[in-house]
Amino acid sequence: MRRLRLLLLAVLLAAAIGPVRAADPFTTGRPSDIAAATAAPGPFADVVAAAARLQRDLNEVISRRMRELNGTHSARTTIAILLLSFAYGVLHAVGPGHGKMVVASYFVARRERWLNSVLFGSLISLIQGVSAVLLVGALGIVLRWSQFEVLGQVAVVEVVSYALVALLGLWMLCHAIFASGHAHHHHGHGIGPSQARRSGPALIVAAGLTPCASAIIALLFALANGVFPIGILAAFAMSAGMAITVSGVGVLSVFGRSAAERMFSGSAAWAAGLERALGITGPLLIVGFSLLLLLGAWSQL
Amino acid sequence: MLRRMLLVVIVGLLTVAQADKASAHPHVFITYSASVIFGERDIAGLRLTWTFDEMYSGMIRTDYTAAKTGAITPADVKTIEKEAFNNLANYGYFLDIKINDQPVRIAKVKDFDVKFVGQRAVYQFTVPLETLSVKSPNVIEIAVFDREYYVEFTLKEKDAVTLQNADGLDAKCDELRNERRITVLGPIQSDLVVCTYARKA
Repeated sequence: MRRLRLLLLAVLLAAAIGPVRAADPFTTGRPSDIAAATAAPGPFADVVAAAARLQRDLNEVISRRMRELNGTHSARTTIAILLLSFAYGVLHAVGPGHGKMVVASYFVARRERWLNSVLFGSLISLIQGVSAVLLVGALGIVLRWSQFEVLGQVAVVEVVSYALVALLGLWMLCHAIFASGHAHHHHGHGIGPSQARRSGPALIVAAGLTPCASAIIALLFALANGVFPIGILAAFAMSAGMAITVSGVGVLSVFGRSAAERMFSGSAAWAAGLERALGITGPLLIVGFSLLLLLGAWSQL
Repeated sequence: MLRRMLLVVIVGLLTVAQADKASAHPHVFITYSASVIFGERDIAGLRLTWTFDEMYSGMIRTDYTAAKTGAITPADVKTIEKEAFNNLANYGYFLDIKINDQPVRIAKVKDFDVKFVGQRAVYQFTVPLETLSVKSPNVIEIAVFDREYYVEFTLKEKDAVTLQNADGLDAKCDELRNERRITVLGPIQSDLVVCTYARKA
């Protein structure tokens, strides 16, 4: 609970830094090779392009429907917006960030049931939705910041989130290295179960802090069109959609890990070795990736 | 056994790396068209038209125009240019242009204009160009792409490319859609306009 409060404090502090407008290339920032490298489509460029084109169409229909809604309050239009936002979320979370790296690494490091990875991924996405609504609500409505100033805060929160994730990863890594000597054989947990139980929720919150820029843009659009409550619903529908993708990555990691375990089940020594290797690899990935993302986000502030 | 374990770790690493990199991550969607402008003997420039998605257009409208509906004023155009366009110089205006295989660095663009068509912001600006080492025919490749994938650019479906003032030259343009290209950061998928032009014999 105290940790949670500290995290919330960090977000508030970050938001209080002031109206810097970062990340949005039209208004501020400069190109960064690190940011580009962490966002470039890579080997799945055609899948990515197809998903992007679908998102373009969805974005267009959602905005048209939201405008229609202003004045009519039609239930049918609202439901359409929610379904479309959900689909947008599924596609959108294929993109970088959204905590997929954290989910994947976490479930590589620990033997868990796949349902837990669904819960983990869903909570990250849900918190990201809450974060977007709070950001637009607090800065856009209460403090009446301009729309671009609100959007610019995404980059600031990103830096805080990546830094916290990196710290938590480092903490997990230390435990994995120092605790694995005496704890690794208990029920096959790569990191001590009590320590992991504590790092899990903190990781969820830290990774969930980063609101999605698209959710922010949709909320701002809803706000400008006088349908902010619908925007909130749409943001959560988007979160639900993103939860599908993010959880999917988690489930894949769980199955991937158990496949690896089966490969080494022949020898107890090798199985224990794998256990320890994965227990260290997971946090190492979390640290490495979040530092890379942190540098990318930082260079754009 | 050790080799097998190494393999597992490497595959795991790559999977996680890709999990966070495969990016369908655009936040802003722009449909663009280009008018290739020719002079008497050479290419003279490029007039680009960028049409934004409604959501991002809404942000520009809310923050940077005096009136929230209808036509905008010249003062609004100045504000938008200053606040939501000039910074793109840092990004080379997302232009990836090659003339006769030589990359062209875009230092300056001119004649920025913006209007609102319905709910959409439409930017227009001109990129001055010249052919430094003349060939016959010359080839210009024009791609608009954001390496950080914040913005997704798509070539307009119809009439995406027009030629202006091309009577004195043999010129023609092709639109290539969804071309796979290799960049320093790996493969990307983007639309491409390729034009050839030569002095008439």
